[in-house]
Amino acid sequence: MKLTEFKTVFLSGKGGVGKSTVSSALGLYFAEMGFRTLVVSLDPAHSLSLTFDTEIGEKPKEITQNLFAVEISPEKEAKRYLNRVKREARELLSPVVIGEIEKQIELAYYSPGALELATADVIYRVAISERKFERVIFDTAPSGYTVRMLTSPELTEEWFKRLIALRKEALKYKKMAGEKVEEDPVLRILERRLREVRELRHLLLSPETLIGIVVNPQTLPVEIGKRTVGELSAAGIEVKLIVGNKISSEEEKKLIEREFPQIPKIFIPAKKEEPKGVEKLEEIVKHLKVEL
Amino acid sequence: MKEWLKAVKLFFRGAVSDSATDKLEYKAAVLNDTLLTVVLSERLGIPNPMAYYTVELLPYIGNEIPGWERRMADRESVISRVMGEVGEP
Repeated sequence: MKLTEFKTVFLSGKGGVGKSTVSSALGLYFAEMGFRTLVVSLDPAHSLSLTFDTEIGEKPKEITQNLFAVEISPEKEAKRYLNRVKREARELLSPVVIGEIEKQIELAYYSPGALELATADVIYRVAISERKFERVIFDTAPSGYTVRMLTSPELTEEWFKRLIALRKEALKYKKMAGEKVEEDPVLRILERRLREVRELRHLLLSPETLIGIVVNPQTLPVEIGKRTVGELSAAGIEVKLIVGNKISSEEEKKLIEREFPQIPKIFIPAKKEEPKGVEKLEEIVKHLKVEL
Repeated sequence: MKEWLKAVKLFFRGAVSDSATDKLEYKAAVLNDTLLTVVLSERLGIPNPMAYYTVELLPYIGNEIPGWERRMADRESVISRVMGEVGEP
């Protein structure tokens, strides 16, 4: 299978191994093969501006023909979402309750998993609901925690399903009691969340999605890479590619071969300086043109 | 006499159907309280891993919270009842 056959790509790996560089080179490769491609950075330490050697912001910026890049901050996404909820609350709620509710909404920013779920929301929007590109590459993979939340139906889907059933039953009795029941916003929100969680799970499990791990031939990146493989496979997700980056000898190659048996690998030799800009990235692209 | 009988009939029909309506409304309220308990579990000291998602419901259920709090204070085992119906997230 060629890499270009994957429509959505997530690259994971320890900080500094070259996720952004590899994502950028992969984006360039896809674009050269004629696919309209978006490279997305969700990393708080955005580095696409460095790899493409041009300022990149929250709106997709054209790099070369067919190639676009964007840097999105899940923190900002979370704040925007919570501000919207707060606005709605102020519109709809009585002064008696609004103070406490506003506090609860603000606290949700610090609730466990908030940023992971905000990341999942960004992925949903860019890769599914507002998708405008044939190929989308994320320089970050969802964390083990997020993947577990999204892939174990008992955890999330069942939970939403039961809440939906509860609300529906309550509305049914209300209706039987003669109350007028209109389109229910609570039900609408719960059903939308359930749909999103399902679609994200399908995306992560899709044969057209590539989840890869970038490693360097050192202990820490390799160990963290192995841990990620374990976490993902426990959640039923297969890591389909290991990118050995900054390889400078046959021994280093063999080390990675040994540590990740049975997973297809690509090796990228160490460069004297960090590749910056499209021209330098071309040197990496030739290593990506392989059959898996 | 006929008029009187009619009135009696009406009275009983009203009494019966009203209590049926009450029962339905009560049932709806109990179910809705369970939902509120799940969404507001943090107020009872139970962490909610979906808190980030469920706050989105607050603008639409917020006005029901004071009533919920009052009813919760009356109950013996709110938590076990909710766990029985919904399960942990």
